[in-house]
Amino acid sequence: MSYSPAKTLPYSVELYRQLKRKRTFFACAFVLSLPILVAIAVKFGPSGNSGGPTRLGSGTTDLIGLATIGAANFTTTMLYFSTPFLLVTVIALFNGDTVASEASWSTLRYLLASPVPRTRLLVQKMKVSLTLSAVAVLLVPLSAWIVGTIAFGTKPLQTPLGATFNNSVALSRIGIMTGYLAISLLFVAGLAFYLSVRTDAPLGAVGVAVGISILLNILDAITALGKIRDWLPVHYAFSWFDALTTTIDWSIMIRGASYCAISGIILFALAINRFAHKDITS
Amino acid sequence: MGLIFPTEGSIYMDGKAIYPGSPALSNLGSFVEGPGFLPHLSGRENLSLYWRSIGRDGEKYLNEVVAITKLGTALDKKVRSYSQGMRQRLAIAQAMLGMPDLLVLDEPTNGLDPQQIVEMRDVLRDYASTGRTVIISSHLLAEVQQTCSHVVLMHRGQLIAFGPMKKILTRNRKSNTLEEIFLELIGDDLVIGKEKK
Repeated sequence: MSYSPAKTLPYSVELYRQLKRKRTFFACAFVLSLPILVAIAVKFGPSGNSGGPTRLGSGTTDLIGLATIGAANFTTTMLYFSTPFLLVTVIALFNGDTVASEASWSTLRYLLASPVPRTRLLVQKMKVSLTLSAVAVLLVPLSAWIVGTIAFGTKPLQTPLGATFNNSVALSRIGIMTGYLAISLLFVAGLAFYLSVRTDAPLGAVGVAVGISILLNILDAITALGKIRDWLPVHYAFSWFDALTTTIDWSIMIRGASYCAISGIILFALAINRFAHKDITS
Repeated sequence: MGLIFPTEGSIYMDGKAIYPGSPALSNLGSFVEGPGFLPHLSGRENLSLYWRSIGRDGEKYLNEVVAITKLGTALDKKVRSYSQGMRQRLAIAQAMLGMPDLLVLDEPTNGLDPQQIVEMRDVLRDYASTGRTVIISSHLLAEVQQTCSHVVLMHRGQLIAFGPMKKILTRNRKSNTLEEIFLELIGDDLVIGKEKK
C-alpha cells in the first residue's frame, strides 16, 4: 500500500461531498429565486401607478425605479438588491460551514487521522467553497438577465446618471460589476472561513460572519466616523456603481477590490495557521 | 493519531515517527470517540468517498469490509437514518478499509447488542490472525479478557500492569478475571481507570 499526500481529498471528491448537501441546493435556489420573485411582484403585483409601465420604485433617477426598463437594468438592480445581504449570507454559509460542519459530523478527525495533511485539507476546502461562492455570485446576473429578458425584453441600459449603453456595452459593464462584487465578497468569505476553523458549530461561524458584516455596515453608516470608514471592507460593497458612468472611474473600485482581497487573503492565511496548530478534539 | 499535539514524549510505529499528518499514519486505521460520517450520504458513498480522500493506493478490500458492517440493503440508505450500532459497525469497517497493519479502536463494542458484540470479537480476532495488530482501548475488562492476547492496564494515566493476557491472568493471585485483578491492583483508589490490550 502506498500513500501520497497530494492525492488526499481531491477537488472532485470535496465538490461532490458539498454538492450533495441540501444546504448547497437551497442556497443556490435562494439566489436564483430573487429575480424571479421580483419580476413576478412587478408584473402581477397590485400597482400604485396609474397608467404607464409598472415600476419597481417611483424614481426615474435611481436604480430601483429604472429596474423594469429591460434586462440590463433589471440585472443591475438585482445586483444592487443582492449586494448587502443575500450574497453576504450565501457566501458566509459556503465558507463558514465547510470546516465546522466536518467537525460537528466528526468526519474531520477521520480525515486528519487518515492522514489528509492539515494545510492540504483547508486548501482543498477553500477551493471548493470559493468555487461555490463564485457560482452563487454568477447566478445573480445570469438568472436576472434571463428573467429580465422574458419579463421586460432587452432594452439598452439606462443609468441613474442619465447615460445609456447598448446591450454589448451593458453586458461588459455588468461583467465588471459582477467581477468587482465577487472580489469585494472575499472579505466575508475569508472571515467566515476563519471562524469555521475556530468553532465546531457550523451555524455559529456563519451567523457570526454575517453579524460582523452587519455591524461593519452599521459603522459604515455613521458619518461621524469620517475617514475611519474608508478602512472598513464593507465600505466598498457598492463601489461597482462606478462602472455605470460613461467613462469608468477605476480608482475607488481598485482600492475597494484590493482592500477586500487582501483582508480576505489574510483571513484565509490566519485560518490555515490556526488550523495547523490546533488540537482536534471533536 | 495526528489529532492532538503531545505535551511530551513521542510515538513510533514501525520505526517511523507519528505526528499530526505524518505519512506513517497511512498504515493505521482508527476508530476514536464514536463514528463520523456525512449524514446526507449513504454508507456505501461514505466508504467510497473516504477511500478516495485518504490518498492510499492498492486493494481496498471493500467487499470484505462491507461484509463486516452487516448492513445489507441499508448500506445504500443515508447514514442519517442509521442506528448507533449501524454507525458503529460502519465506522469500524471504515477503519479497516485497505487493511492497514495497525488498527486502533476506542470502545469498539459501544452501542452494539450482545450478538453483535460476539460477532465483533470474531471480526477483530480474524483481523489480528492475518498478522496485523489490533489495539483496543476499553473500560469493559471482561470484553478485553475475551478478545485480546496482550493487555496493558492503566489507571489515572499510570501504567499498572502489562504483558500477555495469560500471564497477567495466572500471576499467582486470588482473582482470576481481568476485572478483579484490576480492582486488586488499584486497591482502594477510586475506579476511574482505563485499560488497553
